[in-house]
Amino acid sequence: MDRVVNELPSRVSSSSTSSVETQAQLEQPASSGRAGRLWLWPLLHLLLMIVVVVSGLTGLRIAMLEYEWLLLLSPFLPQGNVVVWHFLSGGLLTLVVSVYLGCLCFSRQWLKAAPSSSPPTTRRVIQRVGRWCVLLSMLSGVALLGNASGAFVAHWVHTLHFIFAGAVLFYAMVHVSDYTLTGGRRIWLWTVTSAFKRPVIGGLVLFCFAGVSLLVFRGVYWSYPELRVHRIPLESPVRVDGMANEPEWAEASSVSLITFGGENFSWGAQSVLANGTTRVTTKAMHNGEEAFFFIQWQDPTQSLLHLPLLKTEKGWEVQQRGFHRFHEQHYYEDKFAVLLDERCKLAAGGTAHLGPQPLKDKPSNWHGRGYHYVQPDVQSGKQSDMHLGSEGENKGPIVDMWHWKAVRTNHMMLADDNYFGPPDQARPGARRYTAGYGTDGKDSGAYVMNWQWYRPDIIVPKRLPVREDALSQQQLAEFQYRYQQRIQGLQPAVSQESEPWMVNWFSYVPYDQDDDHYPIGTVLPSVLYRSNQFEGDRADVRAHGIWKDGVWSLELSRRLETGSSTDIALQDGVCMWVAAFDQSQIGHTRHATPLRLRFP
Amino acid sequence: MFRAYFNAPRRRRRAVVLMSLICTIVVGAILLQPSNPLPLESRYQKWSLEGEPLANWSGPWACVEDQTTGLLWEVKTDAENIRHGDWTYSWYSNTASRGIPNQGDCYFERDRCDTEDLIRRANKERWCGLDGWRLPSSKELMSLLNFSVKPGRPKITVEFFPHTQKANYWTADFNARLTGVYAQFTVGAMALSFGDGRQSALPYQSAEFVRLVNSNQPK
Ligand code: HEM
Ligand code: HEM
Repeated sequence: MDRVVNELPSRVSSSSTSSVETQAQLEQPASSGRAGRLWLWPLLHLLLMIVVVVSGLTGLRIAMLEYEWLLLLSPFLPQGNVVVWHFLSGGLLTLVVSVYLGCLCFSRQWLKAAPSSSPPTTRRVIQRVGRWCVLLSMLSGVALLGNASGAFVAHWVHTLHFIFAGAVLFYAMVHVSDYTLTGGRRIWLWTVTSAFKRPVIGGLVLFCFAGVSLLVFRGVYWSYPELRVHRIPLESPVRVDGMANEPEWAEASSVSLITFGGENFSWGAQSVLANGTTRVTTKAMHNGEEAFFFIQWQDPTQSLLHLPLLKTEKGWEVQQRGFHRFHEQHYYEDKFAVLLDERCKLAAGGTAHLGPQPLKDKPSNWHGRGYHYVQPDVQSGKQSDMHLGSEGENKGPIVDMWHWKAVRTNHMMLADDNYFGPPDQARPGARRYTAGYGTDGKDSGAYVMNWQWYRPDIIVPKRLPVREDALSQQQLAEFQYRYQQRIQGLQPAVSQESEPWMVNWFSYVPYDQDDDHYPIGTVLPSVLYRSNQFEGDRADVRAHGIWKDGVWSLELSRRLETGSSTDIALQDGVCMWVAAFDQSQIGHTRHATPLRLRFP
Repeated sequence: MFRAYFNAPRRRRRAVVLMSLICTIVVGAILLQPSNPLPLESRYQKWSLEGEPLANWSGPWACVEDQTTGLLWEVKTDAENIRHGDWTYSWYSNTASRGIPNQGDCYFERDRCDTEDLIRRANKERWCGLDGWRLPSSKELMSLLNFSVKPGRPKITVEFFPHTQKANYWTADFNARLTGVYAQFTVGAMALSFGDGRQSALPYQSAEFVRLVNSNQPK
C-alpha cells in the first residue's frame, strides 16, 4: 500500500510545488494508462478514515471507564450507546482490512496504480507500523468481542487492544499532519473525490460493505456462548451456601469468560497487563421451579471494609476516597452482579450509556462515566412516560439485575434484587440521579448506613455500641484489629463468618453526644443490619458467597418465575451478563457479549 | 508578525495552522470540562430542627416546607426519638374530647401513645422553632401524595420525606361513619394511606402513623 499511498502527493502536488519532496516526485510521471485501476484503494482508504475516527472516538469514551485522565477529552467524545457503535464500526473495519488483505493475496493489481517514486524512509516506516497497528487492534478487538471461552482470550488482550488502538490514533495523527503539511487542502479533496471517480461502482461497493458489516454484526448476536442449565429432580436439595458441594453440581457444565475493565483486581508487577481483569466461571441448574447458579471469580483480595467511621478530633468521619462522587474504590466491599435480559442486546442488554450526561434532559452524573438504563422504546408508544410507574402499572422493558454485596447482603444470605429500567425522572431531593437503576419493592432495605446524613467531612452516627454490652465491645475491639490489618494491606487467610464487618442494629443504641466517649482513632463499622431479610420483591434472590485463596465462590438462587414486574422469568434463550466488583462501588469488570441460557 | 507568517514557506504556514488547531482543541477541552451536577428547583424546602433553612442536598432536617401550600410538615427519623417513623398512635383529641387515648406504640411515653401525646411534645419542644403543631386535614395531607414514585415506594416524595410507611396516616377529620368490618364502632377518624393513596375511615383506637403539620413558617 505504501507505494500507492506515496503516489498520492505526486498526483496532487502538480500545484503544490513548494516542497522539496513533492518536487522530487513530480519528476516521476504518473502513468495515466494504469490509473484506471486505482479505484478500490481510495474507497478502502476513505472507509478506513471514517471507521478509525468512529472507533477512535467511541473507543476513547469506553476507555475513560479505566483511564480517568482521558476524562479531559470528554467534551469531544460521543455519549450514550457508544459500545454498540464501537462494535458496528469495528465490524466495518474488520471488513475493510479483510478485503485489503484479500486483495494483497489475490490481486495486488486492484490496489496498485502506477509505480511512483520511492517514499522517504521515515514515511515508509510510519506507514508500515501504522498498518500493523490497525491489524493488531482489529485482531485484539475481534478477540474481545468473541470472548466465548476463557481459553480463547487471555487476560491481557483488553490492555493490548487499548495500546494498539492508541498507536493507531497516534499514527493517524502523524499521517494526517504529514500529508496535510505536504499536500494541503487538495489532499483532503483527493481522498474523497478519488474514491468516487466511478460513482456507481463506488456506491455499490459502499452499499455492499454496509450490508455485509450489518450481517457480521448480526452474526455476533448468534455467536453468544451458551450456558446449559442442568436439570435436577425437584427433590434434590441444594443449599445456597457458596460451597456447591451437592453431587449435582459436578454434572453441570461450566462456561468461563474473561471480564475486563474493573477497578482494582491488581495482579501485581508480573502481570500488569492483566490488571482490572478477572476470569468468571459459571454453572447453572434448575429443578423446574427454582434456578441455581454457581459462580466463581478470581479476586486477589477479600475486601470487607465498607466505608468505616473514624473518630477524629472534630467528630466521626466516613473513610472514603471517592464515595462523595459515588465512585469509591478504596473503602468498599466486594460485590458481584448478574444481569438477565430477554432481548439479548449488546452492551449490558442495551443499558450501558456512557458519558457525563448521555440524556440531555436528565441530570449529569458525578463521575463522568455514564448510566445504566433501558432506552425507552419510542416506537411502541408504550414508553412515552419515561419512568416506571408503581407496581403493576407499567411494565416497560426492563433488565433484571441481582446485586450481591459481600457485607451488606451476604450475611442475610441474599442478593439485592434490582433492575435497570427506563430512565427515571429527575428528583430534586436526590443528589445522585440513578437513571434506570432501581431496587425492587421496599425502599428502606434491611441494611442501613450508620450516619444520620452523609457529609464528606463530619457525620453524626445513627447508633453507637452499647458500653455495657460485652459482646458488642468485643466486636468493636475485633473491628479495630481488622481495620489495622486491612489498612496495612494484610489479608486474613480465610473468610470467617464471625468477622465484625457489619453489626446488628439492636446491639447498638441511638447516638447521644453525651454518651460518645470513644477515644480519637476509634473505628466503627458503618453497615447496620436492621433485620435479616429484605421485604417483598427485593428478597427474591437467595445468595451466599465465600472467599478462599484468591477466589470468590458465590451461589445464587431464584424462582424461575416470580410474577414481579421488575423481574425477568428464567427461561430458554434469556441472556446473562456478569460484573465483578473488587472493593469498588461502580467500577466493575465487563465483557463484550453475554451468555445465552439454554434450558434442555 | 502577520507578514512573517505570509512570507514563510507554504509548509511552515501549514504547520502553524496545524499547531493552532491542536492548541485550540486542548484549550477547548479544558474550558469545556463538565461541571458537577447542581440541585434542581423544588417545591419543598428543608428546615433543621432548630429552624434553620437547609439546601436541597443538605441534612439532617426535621421539617419540610411545601411552598405550594405554605404548610410546614414534620419529617420522620429512624433514631428511636419522638419523631421515629415506626411509632403508631391512636386517634385522640383533648379539645374535641373525642377519640381513644393510648392505643398506639411508641417508646417516648410511659403509657402507650395517641395523637395528642405527639402534638403536646412537638409544641413543647418547639420543633423547627415553632409551636402550633397539629394533625393535618385530609385535604392538607393529600397534597403530599406523589404518584410518580419508583415502583414499590410509598406515594410521597421520599427524598424529602424519608421513613414514610406504606400505610395509613391519621388526619384531623373525625366523626366519620365507619362501614364494613368497623361498622360496630360507628364513628372514627379519616386516614390516608401512602401505600396506595386511598382514604378510609378507621376506628379511633386503631394504631396508625402520624405526620404533624404547622401553618406557621420558621423565621
Ligand atoms: C482502529 C480501530 C480501533 C480503535 C481505535 C479502538 C479503540 C478502542 C478503545 C480505546 C477501547 C477501550 C479500551 C479500554 O477500555 O481499555 C476499545 C474497546 C473495545 N474495542 Fe476497540 N478499537 C478499534 C477497533 C476495534 C475492532 C475492530 C473491534 C472488534 C471488532 C473492537 C472491539 C472492541 C471491544 C470488544 C472493546 C471492549 C469494549 C468494552 O470495553 O466494553 N475494537 N476499543
Ligand atoms: C458494556 C458493559 C458495561 C458498561 C460500559 C457499564 C458501565 C457502567 C457505568 C458507567 C456505571 C456507573 C453508573 C452509575 O453510577 O449510576 C456502572 C455501574 C454499574 N453497573 Fe455497569 N456497565 C456494563 C455492564 C454491566 C453489567 C453486565 C452489569 C451486571 C451484570 C452491570 C452492573 C452494574 C452495577 C450493579 C453498577 C453499580 C450500580 C451501583 O451500585 O451504583 N454493568 N456500569
